[in-house]
Amino acid sequence: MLGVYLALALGALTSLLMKRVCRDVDRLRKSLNRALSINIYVLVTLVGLSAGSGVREALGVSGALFIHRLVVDVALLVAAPMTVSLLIAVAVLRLGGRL
Amino acid sequence: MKHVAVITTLFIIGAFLGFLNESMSGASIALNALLYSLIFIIGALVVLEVRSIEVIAFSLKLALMLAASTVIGSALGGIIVGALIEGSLKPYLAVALGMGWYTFTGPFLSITNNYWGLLGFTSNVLREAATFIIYPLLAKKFSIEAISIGGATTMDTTLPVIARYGGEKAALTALVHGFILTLLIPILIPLIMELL
Repeated sequence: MLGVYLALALGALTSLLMKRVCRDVDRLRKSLNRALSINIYVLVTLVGLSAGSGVREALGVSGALFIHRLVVDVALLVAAPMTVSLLIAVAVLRLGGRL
Repeated sequence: MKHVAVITTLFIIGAFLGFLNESMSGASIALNALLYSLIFIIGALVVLEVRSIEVIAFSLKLALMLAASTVIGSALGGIIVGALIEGSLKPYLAVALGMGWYTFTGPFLSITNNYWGLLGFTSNVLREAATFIIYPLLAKKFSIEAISIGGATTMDTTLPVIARYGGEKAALTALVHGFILTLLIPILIPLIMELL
């Protein structure tokens, strides 16, 4: 957790310094956005690797019936909280006139 | 749309490769290292974009309301699932209130029951993965509201996607939103497990 804040603070500090040194801020912004895109692609691939590995482990430990129950439970537990959260957020922020 | 297609394809390729390999300990180390570099870039981008105190104050206010929506929405989602599936309501509510923080929810629920632990881990990993794919699709119309689907992950792993597709205002709101949820989850889950 501390590492996250440290990285964030370092990034902000570096940016403040770069703003003073570098005149072409747009170029800096473009470079950072490009680095961000590349990092996202690598990150998504790694998250996929971990998820695939996890599924393989679960399959190795238990039988087909267990997997069926797990798939149903997981599918519902991913979909329902995400959908209801989004609906409430839209109702509160948009219909409540905050956006 | 091109980015979403690339992200989805890369996730599927990654999952397939992960399924073929038994141990992926290297991936988690690389994931951590990459995460810090991403947070570093986000910090730099936020400073480049945020020019006034008003923007920060506005993001804080939004993040508080959004965090409340995420907690209530996730809890209601867990209650709905618990009602649909025969069995105890408690584990489903606890898993849903994990709000994407699988490294806490999975191990914590494993102490009580192995299956609940597996459910807590898998559901929350997939919530994070789904955010990578769903947020870019919703970002054009609901850049702020859609932050709620990411739960606690919006302060770290999914923050880059939010910054890329929602802009810097959404990134700042997401960071505070994720931070509030990260503080709440270790209180809420043990409370649910103890009280219900």
